[in-house]
Order: sequence, then structure tokens, then C-alpha cells
Amino acid sequence: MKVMKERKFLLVATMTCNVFLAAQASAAQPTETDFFWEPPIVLSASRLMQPLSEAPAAVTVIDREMIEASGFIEIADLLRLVPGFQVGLSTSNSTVAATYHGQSDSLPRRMEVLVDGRSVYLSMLSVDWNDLGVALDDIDRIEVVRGPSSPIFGANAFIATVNIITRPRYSDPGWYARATVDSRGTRSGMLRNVGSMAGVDYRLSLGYDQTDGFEGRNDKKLVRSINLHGWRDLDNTDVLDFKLGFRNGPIGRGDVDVMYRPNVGSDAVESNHQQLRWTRVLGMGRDTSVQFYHQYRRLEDNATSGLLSDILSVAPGAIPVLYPGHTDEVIRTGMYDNTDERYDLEWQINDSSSDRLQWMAGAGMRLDRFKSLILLGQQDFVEDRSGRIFANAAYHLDDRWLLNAGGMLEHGDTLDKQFSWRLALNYLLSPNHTLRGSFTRSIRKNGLLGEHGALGLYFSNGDPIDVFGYSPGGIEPEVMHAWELGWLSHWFNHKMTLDVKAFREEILREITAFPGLAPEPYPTGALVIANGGGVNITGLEGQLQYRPAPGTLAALQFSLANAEDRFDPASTGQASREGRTPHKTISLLLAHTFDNDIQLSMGYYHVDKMRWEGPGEVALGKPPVPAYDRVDVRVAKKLRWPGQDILLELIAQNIGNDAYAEFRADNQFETRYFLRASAQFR
Amino acid sequence: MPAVRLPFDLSAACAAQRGMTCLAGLFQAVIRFSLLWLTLAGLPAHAAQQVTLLLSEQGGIYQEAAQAFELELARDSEKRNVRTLTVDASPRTNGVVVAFGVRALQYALSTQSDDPLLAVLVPATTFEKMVSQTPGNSRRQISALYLDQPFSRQLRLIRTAMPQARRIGILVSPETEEQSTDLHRAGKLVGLDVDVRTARNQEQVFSSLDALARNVDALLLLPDSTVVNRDILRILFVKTYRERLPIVAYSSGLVQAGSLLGLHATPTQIGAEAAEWLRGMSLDKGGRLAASRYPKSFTVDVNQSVARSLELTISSGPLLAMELDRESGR
Repeated sequence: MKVMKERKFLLVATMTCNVFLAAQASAAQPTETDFFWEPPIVLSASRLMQPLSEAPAAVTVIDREMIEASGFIEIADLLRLVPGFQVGLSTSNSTVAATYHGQSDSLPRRMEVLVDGRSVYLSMLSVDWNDLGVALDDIDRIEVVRGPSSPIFGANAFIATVNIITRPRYSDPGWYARATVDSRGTRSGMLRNVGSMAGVDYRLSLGYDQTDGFEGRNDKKLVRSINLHGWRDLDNTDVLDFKLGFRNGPIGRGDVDVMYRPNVGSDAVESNHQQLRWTRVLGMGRDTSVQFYHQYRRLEDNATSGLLSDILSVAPGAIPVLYPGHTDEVIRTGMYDNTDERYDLEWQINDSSSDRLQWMAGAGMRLDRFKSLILLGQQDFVEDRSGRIFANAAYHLDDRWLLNAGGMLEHGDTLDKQFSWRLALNYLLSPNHTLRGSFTRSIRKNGLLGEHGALGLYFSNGDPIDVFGYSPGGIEPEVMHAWELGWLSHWFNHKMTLDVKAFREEILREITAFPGLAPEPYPTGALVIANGGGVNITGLEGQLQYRPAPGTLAALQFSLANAEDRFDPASTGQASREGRTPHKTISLLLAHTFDNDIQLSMGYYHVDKMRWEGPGEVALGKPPVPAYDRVDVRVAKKLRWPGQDILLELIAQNIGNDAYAEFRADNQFETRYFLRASAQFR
Repeated sequence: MPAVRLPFDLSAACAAQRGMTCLAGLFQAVIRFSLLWLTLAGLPAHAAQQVTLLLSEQGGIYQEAAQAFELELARDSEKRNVRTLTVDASPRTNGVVVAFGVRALQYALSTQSDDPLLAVLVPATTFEKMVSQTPGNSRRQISALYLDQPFSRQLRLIRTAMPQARRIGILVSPETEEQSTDLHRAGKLVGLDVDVRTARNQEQVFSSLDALARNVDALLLLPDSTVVNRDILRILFVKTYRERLPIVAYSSGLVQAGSLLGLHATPTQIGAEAAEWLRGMSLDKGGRLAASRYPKSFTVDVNQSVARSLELTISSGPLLAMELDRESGR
């Protein structure tokens, strides 16, 4: 019996030992689990980009390589690399204006700008390009939909949409630091850390930007910012993505051509935003997401025009007589004293699982709030509650024909049930050549300014003194009918891409301001916001990109456009819109990286004569800004060491040319030199 | 105990022959009885071959493969006693042992039996290492129908699906580095340049990937836990997608996750093919286990969402599979 037990023990020991050895042998080796486990679906429907050949509109993508090669310091400047775009620096109102096919003043209101799906288009004052909540270094690419895109992005995406997409999760791990100085007082720096903590992948950026702007203009700015982007996997199918941002710092604004603010000052700006997106992968090619964001922006503008008695040139004692119940007081005229806030909730579902039909649909609601005594004549917030439902589908009729259809139905306090829609038909001539024809009906709502605007002089308790510009309400939304015929072609194994489109855009019921009378009991004339005649723009534009090898790039962008009034300026007394669209807009970017990690790039930018209008919805018939040619050059050297890369850049803007006028005749853009150094530690 | 009915009647035979033929009839009856006895005695050795299906776990891919195995095995008229057991029960096995999965193979090897052992659902390199490193099985017939697909077939799939692809990148770690020679050989056979880069650890995966991405037209993934794991996969797919570098993988799950193409055999295919293979070996008639080999059956998966986004025109999985079949003359 004892022998039997010993033998059994030996057998078990031998078996255990063998299993252990076998287990050891297979520990580092693959098992069947490696073949049959279910990894998370990483490239879900919303992460996959629609190929340009299937897009219903012309799209320009400015990627990281172009961003770096351009040597631009300001984000808005990158839009110079998009066909048909014009950028004006140092405007009176927002310091930067960017528009598509001209037709803009210092507050372009016809273009949607999104940062990772968050609309930064403000309900009152257009886009503040200094307050996007993202640093240039954190931008991965900018996708610009050239053409009306309200059917996808809503009523603000009237003529174009700029999608700023930040660097994706896992990019640039480690520390990063950058410093920039220039010959005109720019002092800019950034510090970033990308890593992972407690199951959260994060990207934390601190920024400091100080610039003096143009000589003799009050356009200097100081922006201190902190931005955090985090990602957390909830499980195999669910991801939470959140962003937090904060910015503050003064910004110089105002000048003699701002009709209501002759004195210049410095506005304190403080803003913050919070964004949360939950995404669930439903299966291969299908996902759904819910996104919520809130953004808040407070501008302080303590500019005054002195005592009311001085403004009216009357004795102080006359004030109680003229305005019973009031005494003489200092009148605030800071039109940039306002608060803007937005809450937005959106649900979306994407399905590209079928070979034949890809579609997306969603719904959202938004609350915009704005408060400004000077602009609205009210102490309280005015609000715009709106809702939207939308859907887009791409249906492959056969191997060659693709039908794109989409629309958005919107309704809100400042917009009465409007439907914007698009139909596009793409035809695949051959695997490398696609023709596209489309029609789009796009709308722009009047928003809070168009609904509630009442620019005037007010006592500190809100009682009115006079009104200079106002909206009687009931403004109809602007409408655009746009036709487009495009040709997208790839050459040399996709190394060269040509994207050309002919277009006609008809802007109807343009929202503008007409000289008129202020409402009773105000004694003076006023600018009255109303629907005008509009303008037709026709043209041809395109882009040619050639990337023969990594590090070498040639990108040509061009736009030939012609604007035509839809009204008779002589009989209506309105300024013609025809000079507001430049005939030619051209840019060229050439870049090459040599074997020794020296990068050389050159940018050429030309915009024909064009007229930028003044502030607000006012067409004042300003003199045009002359045509300009500008050449930028960048030389960079990358130094690679184990664990760190250092990039040294020398950038010269407008080199070899005389100063040219940006936005207005006295914004003289002389040659500027920048020195930029950045280090990435891994 | 049921009565056995004999196929002849001894008394009837004698009566019929009467006289001189009775002796001859008796002799014939003895001969026929002896033959029948011999036949009956020999029956268990041929008609009831013992087959043990040893599963690493109950259910899942093991059950799926085992069911396909049993169904296929039952398609001929041979009688077999098939038992399905799992490793957890520490069973005693006898007859031909078919081990489903690495854990079952480990167990079967540890029993030090002389029964023939056929491994299925086990990758090739893992099988070879386990067998060579487990002592005491030198006299045993051991073979495998590997789980993975041969490199040449994987590369032929890339050539068929993406004719424009010339250079194929492959990331390996020290654990798979030894396959470099086979990969290069397969590349030559198929007419594709193969660029193999080694990542010593997880941190090196992305630097190796960066170096590869600039030089290759597609990335072929191998089952290698240093390169393909949950932590790395998200980054790998995001990075390669941004570089517009298509990935070809070895599993259906990886195609769903974001690979462009996948070549693999399903558990049902593996189970059925293993049974068909075993049947052909005629072990019950003195045959021996054939040498290990890769499966002939395979499935091609295509992630058309990724293909569309990368602007690649890729045929459907079944069409590509047919094309591969046609190329190999099947």
C-alpha cells in the first residue's frame, strides 16, 4: 500500500512538473486566446473619416505637416491655406477676422468654427480667434468644409465650417515646452504634459501669449490659458472624453472707426469651457455618442464717454429736467462689457457598417445667453433656446454613383422652424477621379443681436438715453442657395491630389443694417437691422497638393470669384457688395526636409483688392484694402537626442516686400521675424 | 444477456446431408464458426476506436471546434467511441487524444501516455516549443493542425487584396523574432518585400512602428503579446490609421477593432478539418499520425468601413477567399 502511495505521489509530482514546464514554455508564446479574444473596436464609425471622394462638399484638410511648414503663429492665419479664405488681422472688434468668399466685416458671422465638436461661434460677436481654448501646438488638423454646411452643422455654418481637431489620444507622450519671441514684442510660451494617471489618459497644456500687434493700434493682447483633455475607457465599448479650459487676460480693442467707442481701452477677458462626451461602440462601423458642453465668456470694458452733461453739452442741472428721475452721471460706453454663455447637448449615431449605405443622425438642444447693457439696453440676460434634429446618408446607387442627402430641422427663440438640406451626387469616373454635383439650401439665423440689438446710451440703472442701432425684431433668416460642380482627382499613386470646384452661391435676404430712424421717443437717426437684397457669388477654386515623399510638400490654393449685387445700390441707398469679395485669392506652400533634419519652407499669399466692412451688421461703404503679395520663409533644424527632440525655427513673415495693409489701410504689416524653439521630452 | 442467434443450424445441416455428407457438413460448420468467432473477437479493435476529445475549457471555441470535429468524424461508417472531457476534471484519457487548446495540450503531454495525440487550436510555435520542452513523450505520436495561417497565405492575401502594396512591414518582439527567416522566405515566394523590425519591449513598439510606417504599404500583425495587447492596440490602430497604413491581422476580433483585413480559421473550420484529417490517417487500421501542418481552411474578413475611409477598393471576404483558393489550385 505504501508503495502504491509513493508511486501515485511520484506520478502526480511528475505530471505537475510537466504541466509546469509546458506552461512555462507557452508563457511567452501565443495561445488560442490571442486569436479569439475580442479587442475594443478602436476605429469606430465616428473616428473614421469619410473619404474625400465620397464627401458631398469640397473639403480642405490642413494637417500637422502643413501647420508646421507654414510657420504661422496665429491659428486663424492657417486659413490662408484654404482656397477662397481671407484673413484680416487687427480688426477693431475681435483682432482677427476670417471669412470665406469675402462679404464680411470685422465680425464674420457666416462661418461655423468648431473645436472638437464644440461651437466657438458666439451668439453675438462672431468668433474670437484668441479664445478657442486650444493652442496651435495642440492642433492635429483643421478640416474646412468649403461651402454651406448648415445641413450638417446648423444655422451658423452658413457659408463654410472650420473644424479644428486637436491631437488624438496617445499623441506626443511626455513633456513639451515651446518659446516664441519676435521682433515686435511677441512673448509666447507653452508647457505641456501628456500621460496617464489613475486610468485616465490626459493632455494638459499651459499657455502664455503676449503680442503688441500693429504699430499705433490698440490691439495688443495677453492670453493666459490652461487646457486639459482627458480620456477614460469605461469598458471595452465605452469611452468618456472630457475637456476643461480656462483663459484670462486683457485684450486691446477699439479705435476711431468704431462708431460708438472712440476712446481706446483694454478689455479684461475671462472665459472657461467644459465638455464631456460619452461614446459607445455598437459594433463594427457603428457607434453612438452623447456630448454636453458649456462655455462662458465675460468681457469687462469700463470705457466711458464722460458726464452725460458734457456729451449733450448742457449744464449738469439740465439733466433732471431732460431725464426726470435722473441726475448727471458718467456714461459707460464700453460695448465690450458683456457676458456670453452657452449650454449644448447633442446625441448622435453613426452607422457605416453597410457597404451600400452609411448614415448618421442625431438631435440636440442649445441655450445661448447674452447680457450687455450697451448692446441690448437690458440689464438681464437675453436667451435663445433652440433644438435641432439632423440626418445625413450616403447611398451607393452602384459602384460608380453615390447619392448624399442630408438635412437639419431647427427651431428656437430666434428661428422659426427652418430646414436646411443638401443633395449631392458623386460619380466615380475611375478609381482616381470623382465628379461631384450638389445643391445646398443653407440658412443663417439672426441670433441674439438680430433679435434684441439696441445699441445706445444708457443710465447706470438701465434707463435709456438714446439708441443708435437696433433691431425691431422679426428678422427673417438669411438663406443661401448654392450650386457646386467639383472634380477630385488623384495622380501618381495618390501623391498628387487636385480638387477643383465651380460654384454659384446666392445669398438671399441678407441680414444687414439700414440707416433709419430710432424708435420713439428717441430723437436721432439710427441703424436699423433688417433683411436686405443679398449678393450672388460665382467662381472657380481649387487646390493642388503634391507630396512625393515624406517631408516634401507643395500645396497650391486658388480662388477666382466674382460678386454681384442682388439689389440696385443706387435706388436702395445700400453700399454695393461687389467689392467685398476679392477676385483672386492665391496661396502656395512649399516645404522640404533635408537629410540632416533641416527643414526649409516658403509660403506665398496673395489677396486681391477687397473691402472689409465696419463693425456689426453695418455696411458703411469703407474704402477697399489694396491687393497684397506676401512671402513667408521658415528655416528649421531638428536636433534628435535619445529621449528628446529639439526644434529650432527662424520664421520671417512678409519677407522681401514692402509693408502691406491688413484689414484696413493703417494696419501696415511690415516684415516680422520670429524665433521659436520647442522641445519634446519622451 | 440477449441470446445470440447463429447464422446456421448444425442439426439441420446433418439431416439434409444424411450419411456421407454429414461429416463434410460438420467440417464446414466448424470452419464457418471459427471464422465468425475470429471476426467477432476482432471487432472491437476496428469498429470501436477510442477517441478522447480533451477540451481546455467547457464551452466557447473549444465546444464549437469539438462539435464540428464530432460531426465530421461521424460522416464515415467506421464505429468510434468518442468521449468529450475537459481538463478541469483531470480525466484519464485513452485511445487517440485530440487536445483542443494549449491547456488541453499541456495536460495531455503531462500524462506521458503512448496514445497518439493530435493538437488543435494551438499556434504553431507554441506547439513546437511545448512538445520539445516536455520530456517523456519521445515515443509518442504527436501532431498538430496549427491554429495560425501560413505566412505565404497571409502575404498572398495582401497581394491579392492590395495589388499596389509592395513592401510589407512586420513588427516582432524577441518572442517572435525567430520567425523572421520564415517571413522573408515567404515574402520571396510571394514576391513582396518584407521589412521585419524588432521591438525589444512595449516602449519600443512605437519607435519601431514609426520607422516602419514611412517605408511600407501595409502592416502585418502576428500574434505577439508584446506588439498586440489591449494597452497597445488602441494606440497602434490610431497611429497607423493616421499614417493611412492598412493593417492585416490574424483574427476576426482584430478586424472588427480596426484592421483592414484578417485571415484566420474559425473553430468550426479547424474542428472539421482536424476530424477529416484524422479520418484519413486510418489509425484504427495501423496508420500513423501525419506530420503537423497548417490548416487548409481559412476565412477572410474585410473591414469595409476602414477600407472606405482609407479610399481602398477591397473585394469582399468571400471573394478574396475564392481568389486565394483559385491561386492555390484548390
